Amino acid sequence: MELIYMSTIAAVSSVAYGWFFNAPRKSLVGAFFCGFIGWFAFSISQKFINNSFITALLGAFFLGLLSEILCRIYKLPVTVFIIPGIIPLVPGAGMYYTMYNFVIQDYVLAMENGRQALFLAGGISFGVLLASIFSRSLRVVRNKSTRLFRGEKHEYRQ
Amino acid sequence: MGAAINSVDDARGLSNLAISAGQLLLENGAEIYRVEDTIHRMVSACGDIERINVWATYNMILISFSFENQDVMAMRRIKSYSTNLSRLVSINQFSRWFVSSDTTVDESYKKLTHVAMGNNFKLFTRMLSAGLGSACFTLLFKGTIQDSIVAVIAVMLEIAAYSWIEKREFPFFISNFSAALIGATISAIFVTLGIAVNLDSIVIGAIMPLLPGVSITNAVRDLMSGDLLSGTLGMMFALLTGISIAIGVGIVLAIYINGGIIWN
Repeated sequence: MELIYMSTIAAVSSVAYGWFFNAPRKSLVGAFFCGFIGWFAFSISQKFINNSFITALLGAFFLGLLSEILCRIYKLPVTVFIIPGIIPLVPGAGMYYTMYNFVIQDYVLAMENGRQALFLAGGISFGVLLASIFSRSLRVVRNKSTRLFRGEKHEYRQ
Repeated sequence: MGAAINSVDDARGLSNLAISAGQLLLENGAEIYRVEDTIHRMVSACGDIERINVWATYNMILISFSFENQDVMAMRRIKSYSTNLSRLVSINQFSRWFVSSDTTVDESYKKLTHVAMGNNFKLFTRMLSAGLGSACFTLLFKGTIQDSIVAVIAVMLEIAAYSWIEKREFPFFISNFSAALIGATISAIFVTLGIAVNLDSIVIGAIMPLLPGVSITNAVRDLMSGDLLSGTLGMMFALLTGISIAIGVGIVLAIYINGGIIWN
């Protein structure tokens, strides 16, 4: 229940940042679901895996898949859903704690926080990339099969 | 399809049109591959054009193609950089329309200018939406209701200051640094007055609109898809933005915790 509540808050913040980035009005509903699923997958995987790279990767991967589906439904570029969706995952907290620990002169903890923030950022971008590659590979398979079905197998050779 | 190209002048007009569309895309937060792909599609839709080369980074775009064995080149320097998704969508629609319809270069250029003028940011909307988003963030990172209200005030003033500085064309380092400084100062003042409790959750919410999450994601995508220079530039941009925010917050924290001593 706590998880659903937190994911809803994250989703609302996704919608707010979609509005902030001047996203088209009709895409904000999609941004809500992107933010929700991103945070949901991120927090659920945090319970099983103690590795910020993998958890961020999983969150961003599911978010990216949903965005790829939504961008075909709404006929908008995929960026419109990914940019608001990744906002809750961006390591603002990690950056803040890095700076905080530098200021209180706990350099070991500062480095640890900085490393974690960097890994999180890397995980997010890798997850989004994996999702886009995954959807692209699916698309190629579907196109080929329809073309073969219609007997137009030489069309894509050009 | 696309515009009819009959002379070298027409080809020059086409290069100007395509590179303007690319510039608008890049200035409004598109990825490099989208910019290059759009320009390439727009130019190759126009019939008799050969050897199309497009090269875009976050700071400039270069295109070159040949029409009747005469080379046409164009270059643009990109200076401003923001994220405006509505405009991104409308430029995307414009390029699709251009590729699939019979038109002239002049007419399309008029249409592109019209697109470039539309979908502007409104400052108050921007302040309000960032405030709402940051309030959610403060709640997400274990803040109380009072904390999130303070975060809304801090972020609204921060965004107002940011756009005021950005209008005067200061470098991005200065604008991010001062916005983070203002946001953190307001949060620290409210915590000192005893209105809010958790400084960390307020500041995490307050720096959220400034963070380079979008550019770091785009940069890694560029690196993985082989645009090595753009990827490196994007990483550098994200890193410098992060450092500028961290310095802004760090100064306030140092005063709040140590009473002014940053390093000893």
